[in-house]
Amino acid sequence: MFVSYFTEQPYSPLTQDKADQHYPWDHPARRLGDNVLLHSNRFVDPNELAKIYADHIAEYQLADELGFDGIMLNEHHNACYCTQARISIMSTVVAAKTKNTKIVQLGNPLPLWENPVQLAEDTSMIDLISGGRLVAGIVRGGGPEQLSNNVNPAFNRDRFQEAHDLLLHAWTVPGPTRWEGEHYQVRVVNPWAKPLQQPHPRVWVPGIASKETVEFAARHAYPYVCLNTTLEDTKRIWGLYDKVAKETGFEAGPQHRGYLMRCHVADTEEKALRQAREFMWLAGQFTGYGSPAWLAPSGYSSWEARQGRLNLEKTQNSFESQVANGTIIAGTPDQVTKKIRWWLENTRPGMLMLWVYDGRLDRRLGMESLNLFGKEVLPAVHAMGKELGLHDPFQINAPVSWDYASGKKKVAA
Amino acid sequence: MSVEQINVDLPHGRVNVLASGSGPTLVVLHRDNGRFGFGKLHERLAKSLRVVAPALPGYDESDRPTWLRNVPDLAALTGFALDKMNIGPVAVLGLGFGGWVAAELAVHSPKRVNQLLLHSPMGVKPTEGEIADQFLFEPENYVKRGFTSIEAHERSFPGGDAKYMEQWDKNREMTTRIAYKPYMFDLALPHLLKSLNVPALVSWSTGDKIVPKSCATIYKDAIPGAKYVELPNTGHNADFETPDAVADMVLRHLEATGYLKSAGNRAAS
Repeated sequence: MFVSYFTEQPYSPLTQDKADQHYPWDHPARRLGDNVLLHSNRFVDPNELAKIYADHIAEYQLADELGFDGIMLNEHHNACYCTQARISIMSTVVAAKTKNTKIVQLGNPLPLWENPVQLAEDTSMIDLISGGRLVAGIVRGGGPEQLSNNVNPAFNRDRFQEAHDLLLHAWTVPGPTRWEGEHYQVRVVNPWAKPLQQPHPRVWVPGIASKETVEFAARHAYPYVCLNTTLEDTKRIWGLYDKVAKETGFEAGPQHRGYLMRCHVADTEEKALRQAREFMWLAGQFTGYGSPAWLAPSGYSSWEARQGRLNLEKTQNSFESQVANGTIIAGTPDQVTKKIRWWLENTRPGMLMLWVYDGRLDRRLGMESLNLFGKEVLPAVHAMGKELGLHDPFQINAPVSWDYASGKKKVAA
Repeated sequence: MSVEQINVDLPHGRVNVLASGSGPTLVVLHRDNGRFGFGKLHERLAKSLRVVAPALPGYDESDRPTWLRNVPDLAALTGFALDKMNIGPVAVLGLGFGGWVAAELAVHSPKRVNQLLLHSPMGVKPTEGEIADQFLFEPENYVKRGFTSIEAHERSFPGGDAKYMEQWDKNREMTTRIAYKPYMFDLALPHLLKSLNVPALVSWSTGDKIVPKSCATIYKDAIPGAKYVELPNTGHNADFETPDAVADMVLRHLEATGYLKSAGNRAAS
């Protein structure tokens, strides 16, 4: 069982009223309450932000010392709910500041790159600096990310596919070579920064709903990480993954399944529940509130698929209902351990990403919770993983992809 | 008024065309929101002209060439559709985004166009102001921004926005595919326009919140001998908001340039 620590790194000094007002300087397209993309960065105090980064780096060091197997990192743009704008930069910091923990990027938004060979260089350098501790996850990136980076959403999936192919090519094919694709043309592919892990760092794919992305992950035998999905959705995703895996030629197991869980622990249940309410900061929309035209831009997926996604976004779940359905877990170490066991028994993931706290919670309390988790829950989760046979890809030395598992590609001697 | 439905089969897919009226031909190229049938402007003009209104390739009822990536290529396909109908040289009226398509058609196929009429045209980088970025607005709000009032919008699109959302959205997707970046301009176009040798009318609505006046000014200054007119009390979507005012302006210009009496163009109808 691989257990990873995660935080969105929110800009917690932002008060709800600052997100819920109109301002004279607002862009005419910003609607009341929208807090991504066009929500003004006038609210950012650089001194506060510097402190946020410093505090999170300290947390990552603590998580490493506590024995977390991984630190999950992500990136978003023009967003108060996630101040981490460059996954490569924080990954490099974690690589330098920690000793044992894996650096789990979930993930690199491939279509945003104009030259994915540079991503191959970034990830290789992080892998080298960390001594081979990188997991280079990949994502399509949400709608606001396409707009923030001025990348055409109509070609998002095509660019994801081609950038993936080029990334793998740059990691594994001896150069110099040339890449003339539909979306990417690179005169010379010959990066001297090559990954330490051979044939390449593990690739994991996180997501919430997209059928095509689950199928993509399963065809490559890349682990798929469900991002805090409900039990029903999680089972539906695994069902699809298992089906495609069978069609591809392998039996999927716990090593292909990851789950991101919002899970807060404190010394009393009352305190844990009170503090866990911060998961509802900005109404619990961990991808931010924004116009449907940003969250699902025209062309990002089909009209029909986008209608489905927008209906999903409209679903407002109360804190209580999320505690009841297990998408938010909060309690004492014993209570939390029992609830995690329930999830593990019911969904059988090999990788668990623990989103320990969020929102405006004082970072001292966040550290306290992390500490408590590391000392009292983490060993129990590791033991449960062993007992339930929930092996992760590292434990069983699983091939990095179906290409290598099937023998289509071989690791260079 | 009877309106003909014509489907023009090109190797790249079908182009849907609505046509009506008799006399010299006027091709009308629609805005990025879509054509939305043979509207009041078309009907008014069809009393004096043969009006040919294609749905641009990829928009409305026309097939979508998925390989299409830019507006000059969209203009080329539009030109091929006109050829297939034996139309040309011909007067072309381009509205907003359609103005950009018309200008590209004129500079890349000068023999196809003998009159160029552009209303609040996109396609050039404004020197003052910005072309409103539709991708930041909900489709319905972008359409509304093209009118001077909500009432004018509701008169043009009656029955509630939901009725039109899918069409607006699918047309926006096509615009995304061909005009996302740079957004709504072609840096080469102002240079190419300088070599045009056709009567041209450039107009701009004083209530336009989509395309700034400087775009119209760039066209007027670049096209030799271009006339310039401002339409008061109307927005970017003037063809919907004040169709009579647009029709009067167009007919006055075609009358003044002798196009309305040009026998040669009658053969095209």
